[in-house]
Amino acid sequence: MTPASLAPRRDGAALFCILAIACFLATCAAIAAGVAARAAQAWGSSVQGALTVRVVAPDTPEAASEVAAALAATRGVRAARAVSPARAKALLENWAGPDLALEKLPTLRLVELEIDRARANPAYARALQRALAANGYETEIYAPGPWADEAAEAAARYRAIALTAAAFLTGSALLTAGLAGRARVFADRTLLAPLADMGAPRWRAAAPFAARSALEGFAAGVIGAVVAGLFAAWLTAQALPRLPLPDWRFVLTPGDLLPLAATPLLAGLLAGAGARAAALRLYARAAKIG
Amino acid sequence: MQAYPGLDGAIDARAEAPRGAGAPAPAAPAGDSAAIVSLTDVYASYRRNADALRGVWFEARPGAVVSVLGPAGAGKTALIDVLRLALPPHRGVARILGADALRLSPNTRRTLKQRIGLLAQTPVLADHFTAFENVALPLRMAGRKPGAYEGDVAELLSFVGLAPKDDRPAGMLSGSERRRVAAARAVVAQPRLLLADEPTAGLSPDLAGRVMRLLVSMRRAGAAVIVATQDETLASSLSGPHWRIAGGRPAPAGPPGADRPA
Repeated sequence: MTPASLAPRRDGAALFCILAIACFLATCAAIAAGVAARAAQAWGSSVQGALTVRVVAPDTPEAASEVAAALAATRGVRAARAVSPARAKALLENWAGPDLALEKLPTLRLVELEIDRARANPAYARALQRALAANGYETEIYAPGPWADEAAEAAARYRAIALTAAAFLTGSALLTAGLAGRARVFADRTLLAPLADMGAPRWRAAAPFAARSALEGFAAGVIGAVVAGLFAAWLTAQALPRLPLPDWRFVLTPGDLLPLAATPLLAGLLAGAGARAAALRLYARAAKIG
Repeated sequence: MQAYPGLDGAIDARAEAPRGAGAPAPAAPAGDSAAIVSLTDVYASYRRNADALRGVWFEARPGAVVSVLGPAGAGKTALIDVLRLALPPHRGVARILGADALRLSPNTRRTLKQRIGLLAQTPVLADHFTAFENVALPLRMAGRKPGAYEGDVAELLSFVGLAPKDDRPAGMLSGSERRRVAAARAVVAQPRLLLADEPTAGLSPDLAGRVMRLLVSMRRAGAAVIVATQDETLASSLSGPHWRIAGGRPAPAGPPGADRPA
């Protein structure tokens, strides 16, 4: 006889459903928190480390691309992109309104820079400007104002809130898993007193409960995680075309799917551990009454 | 008080009962005279400052069928709890199956419990198991293969008037059925010490007789059978020795009813 064959056959559908729902919520929260935290961090970094370079001279169509290439190789610059004339025109329209006579204005030759957050200070901008001047490019460099620091702080707060909420939900789901395992033991505790009276080893008395609960926790975790994964995929597919930021960092990535694997494992582990602890406690109580 | 058919004399080894699963040929108690149970000035309590047993001197030898007679609250169940190693004494010497009950390692306690059969006053069964599975549990725990014990378990269940193929979970059995399942389970592994607390409570005379014959038959294998009861008729039908318990202190006595006028 294997220890698992002692496992209770009682139907625990309600408990199983509650655990699956808890796992679904926890997985959703973990995925959402991962995306939100990364988005907040990326946004904060990009706001603080964003510079815009306007090439004043030479006034040639290639000037922006040449400056972008030169800056991309500079230490502290994470990315440098020349802004296309069409996008520069669109930016001006947004800023000045549709009545502006754009054809009478000089062509804007812009380069968007992303720099390390540690270098986001006026001295670094001036150093870049001097280096470009030494290479024959007259430029103006625009840094975001004090609002960028406030925005970055807000992003950090949102990130912390998202992670805390996910931690609470995940903790609740894991607590539910542990309590489900414990409840399973209490529902079928009548097996433990006879085993204690017969001198069955403690581990052997607890093993069927732990194994059964761990399997149930794992199965509930798999169901919850799979449904959460499908939901997240559907949500991403719905949201992707409407996202104003066409940046991969702001949408679902393979790394965000880690909770799909972690949830069933943790649910199984906690349910098994909860059941084992409860079974051992009840066994000890049954074995010794004095 | 009820009378038990076929038990109007002493219940002893002549009574027919199944031998239990994988039972060896009956061993003669003679020659194995070391006490299976020996309590010397034992005190035990469920709660602090409320001794359920007070200065108990008690003994049971192999092959003996000992009756412990007393009213409710006299300490019968406490005595059974001490003997089944569930209630450790806080004073005195308790030697059970050759071991000092106050100095048992968990492993020794477990090993000793495997040699003790228990029919509790309120039988505790695994409610999700069938009667057959409950009776087979000690043998499964001992690592026996189902093929080796199925016939014996079925025979035991039939003897106590239960259908071996009844697939109802024990939680759905009546009190009488549960007691008979517990009786079969208590003897199935051929214990060296068999403890029965009010073993016939709630049973019809015929079924009570069957249960008692089953329990007493264990003496043939050299077990000590200890029956705690408040039923004088039952106690007087046993071969003895006889004890009376009152105020948590058992004392040797003659057969119940022997001092009554004819």
